[in-house]
Amino acid sequence: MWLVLYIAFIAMPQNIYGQGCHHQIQGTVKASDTNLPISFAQIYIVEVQKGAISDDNGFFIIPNICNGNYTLEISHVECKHEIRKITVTDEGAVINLLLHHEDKMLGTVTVSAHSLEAQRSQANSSLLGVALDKLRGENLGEALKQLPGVTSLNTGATVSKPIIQGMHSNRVLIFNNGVRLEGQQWGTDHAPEIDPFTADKLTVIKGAGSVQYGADAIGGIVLVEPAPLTQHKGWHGRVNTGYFQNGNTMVGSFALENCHFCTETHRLSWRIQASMKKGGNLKTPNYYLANTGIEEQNVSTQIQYKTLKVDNILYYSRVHSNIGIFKGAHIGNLDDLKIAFASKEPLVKADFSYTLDRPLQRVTHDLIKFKQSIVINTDSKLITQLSYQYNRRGEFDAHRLFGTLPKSLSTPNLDFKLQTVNLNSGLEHQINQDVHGKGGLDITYQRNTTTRGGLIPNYVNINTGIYLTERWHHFDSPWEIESGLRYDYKWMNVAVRSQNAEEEGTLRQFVFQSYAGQIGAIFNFSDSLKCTYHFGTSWRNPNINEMFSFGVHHGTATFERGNINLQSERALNNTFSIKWNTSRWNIQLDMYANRVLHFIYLKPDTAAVQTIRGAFPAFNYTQTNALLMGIDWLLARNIGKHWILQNKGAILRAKNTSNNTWLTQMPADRTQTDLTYQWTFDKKIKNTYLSLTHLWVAKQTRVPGNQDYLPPPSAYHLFGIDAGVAFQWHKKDLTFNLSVKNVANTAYRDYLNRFRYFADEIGRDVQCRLKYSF
Amino acid sequence: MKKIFLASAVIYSLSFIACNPDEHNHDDEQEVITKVTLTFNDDKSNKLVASWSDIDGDSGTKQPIVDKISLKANTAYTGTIEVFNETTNPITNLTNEINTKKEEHLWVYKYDKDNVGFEIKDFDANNKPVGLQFKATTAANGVGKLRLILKHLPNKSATDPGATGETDIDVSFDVVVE
Repeated sequence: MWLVLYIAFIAMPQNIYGQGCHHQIQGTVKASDTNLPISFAQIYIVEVQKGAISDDNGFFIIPNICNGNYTLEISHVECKHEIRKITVTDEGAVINLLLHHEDKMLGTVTVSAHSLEAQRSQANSSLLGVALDKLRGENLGEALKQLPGVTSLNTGATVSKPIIQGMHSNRVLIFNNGVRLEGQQWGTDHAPEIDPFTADKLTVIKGAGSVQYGADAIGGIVLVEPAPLTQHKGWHGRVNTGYFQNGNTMVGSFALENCHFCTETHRLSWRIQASMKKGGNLKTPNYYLANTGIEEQNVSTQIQYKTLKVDNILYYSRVHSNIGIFKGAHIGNLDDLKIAFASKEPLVKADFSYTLDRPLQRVTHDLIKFKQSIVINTDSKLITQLSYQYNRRGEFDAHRLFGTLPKSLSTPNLDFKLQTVNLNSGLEHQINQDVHGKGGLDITYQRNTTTRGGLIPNYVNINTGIYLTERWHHFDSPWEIESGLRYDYKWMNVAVRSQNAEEEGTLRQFVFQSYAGQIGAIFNFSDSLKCTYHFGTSWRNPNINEMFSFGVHHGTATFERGNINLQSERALNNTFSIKWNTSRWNIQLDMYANRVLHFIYLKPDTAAVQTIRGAFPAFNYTQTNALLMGIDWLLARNIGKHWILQNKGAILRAKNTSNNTWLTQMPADRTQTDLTYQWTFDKKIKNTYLSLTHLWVAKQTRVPGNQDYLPPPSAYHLFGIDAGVAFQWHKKDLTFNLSVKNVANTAYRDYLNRFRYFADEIGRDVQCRLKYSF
Repeated sequence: MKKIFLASAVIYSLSFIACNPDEHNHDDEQEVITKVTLTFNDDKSNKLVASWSDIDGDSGTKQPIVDKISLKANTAYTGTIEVFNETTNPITNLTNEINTKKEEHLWVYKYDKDNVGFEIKDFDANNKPVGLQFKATTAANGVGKLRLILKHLPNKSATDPGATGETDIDVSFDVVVE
């Protein structure tokens, strides 16, 4: 009997409790085309019915596996199902997986022989997949804040502009589906006219030097990219809906696409997309903010006709929004301001309402583009894009100089019309096995007319740029080298208004021209460790408002004086980045020093300006030398099968080196910690997670003295909860997300929100989102 | 290549047609007050006129011109305020805009010394003060500053109505009593 039992034990198949079963299978899951990590991919071992889910950084770990041969099944909502064979030895097994995106799920970038996006030597981060799904319905500025190094400049919660490493507005270029967004971006209260629902991926490239995009991006670039059109017959699409409790905000979007005669040689596909947003007055923990509602209706359509050699894309989009501006921030002269500051609550009280009243912003942005790619031979492709944009921005003031305000919202007090035509033509070429690049021409014609009000003069500007980028990589070399050079010639014709009301204006011409360049190197120590160094130099001409402002800017209760003699800014940016990616850790570090010569800013004048409405502090546009240095980081650790702990943040030190003082309006230090628990259920229920987040923002103590009405607000802590699950329903995907922002309903103010002088930030917001993809 | 040249040629030729920006349209200028005039009448039919004027408005380079108010000691004056827009030709008197909307306006008189007392003499339909007509009573000699504020849509029932509503005018005059 003892012999029988002994044999039974030996003969029993090895299990987790037996010998040699303490090994693990670990690895990373990445997209085959972009090499970016895929989170929430399920890796399942068929033989032992165990699995794991890849985290935000693409890596996974399956512990306690015995030696042996196994079959791994890898699946992901957006990718083709994969099967891999693997052998586990005493050393365990490491496997790096590349998944191919499946178009029916509106996957990302298609593989292209000369994809320059694969590895940038410039610091960059992206939002896509589940990370982007959690942010649907938020505006662009708010969504991008998830990336380390990116914050936002706010005029309330509804008007938000991205700040990259301390720089914003004219120093940051935004590309909407490959077209440079042209609106009145000089205005700190002018949000980018983009519908984030059109995007499948949001990318931020930090620092100067992206020569193929433009010279004036001395702060960086934001790329808003939609998914490529479907390559398979049949109806595909996506429906997104959301409800945000704060403001009773409803958001929704749908996209529908199909493909006709879908062959390699001949393909016609199209997509139609629309989105809407309607929200009412927002609420801080203690009171409502009067007139902070928003209404937005957007539509876009894309048609693609592709043959083997030629790819044609026609795209049209319209973004239309009506944004209410908080009534309690509408102020008079210095004395009126002091009364408002002294008040604990806004002087204008409100309840909930959807009604939009003055002050109000009404913006319509039309964009149409035609892009054609012609394959000339295996080594070269000619890409030409022609685009037209019409931006119309009206501001309805609650203040009138005298007389009564009209009750209706049909005639704005200030009406800007900006038309831009751009032709961009470039040749992607492969010089030899190791070197490829792109060279081209970028011409822009722009016309601005202010039909009412007189904030900035009318002008025409024509910009001609030529650029060339080259990239070197030898197949087994750990080095990759990028370089680029660009030259721009900009001509402006301005109808300068005379400051003497009786005189007519004069036409004055200005010419700005200079070069921009970049050089970067990537050193791949191993599969897990990579270092990059990037140097970029770029320039930005003074903007029309910096040269010609003259008068009271009612939005800020300041008298601003432009300076016609301003020179162009010159930026010299050095960035060193480290990316370390193992099964346990994911670390990304960007360290930068950005020197900006002739940095243009508003300097307070010692004397206030006396107007009939009283005294207003005066500011003059002037320039100085500046140095912006900082570190952006992301550290993530996989703990066990289910837990992920992540910390990200940014530190910035921005100095006016000519005066040895700090620069004004720079983001404070901040850090965010996320703790996530992931579940695996069966194949029908996936991507299940629960996250707790904690954000700490420091008090900005590095400010120049005597330049602000009030000192920067205190530091604050914000807590959040995030949960999500994805179901497979009739072979289609249904994703549900619940996000609670500011769970503790904390009352706080942020230094970079212009309304901080008058009111707190918004309180708790419970957001639910539903996405159905087919 | 040909396509690019053709396209750029088209753009360049278009640009020659539309190289000049649109002229600024002056018709859209909003109505503005540029001058505030105080008229003091004593009991002997003597008249004193003092104005605060910024002839080219907020956005002009010209500095405001402010008259000094010279009053006699121990005298009672009755006075009126008028407002004008000097950017139009001829000059527009906008006082009626305030007169026809008395409930929506309030003039606030702030004098920093105690040798002159200002009192509002006109009232709106709700029996609340307006301020287009006033009484100024002087006592001893002295020099001071009169601050004159016009409030639009103030809360006339508040404890300090002058701290409510929008400020349309906020000007100061030097006053000499001798």
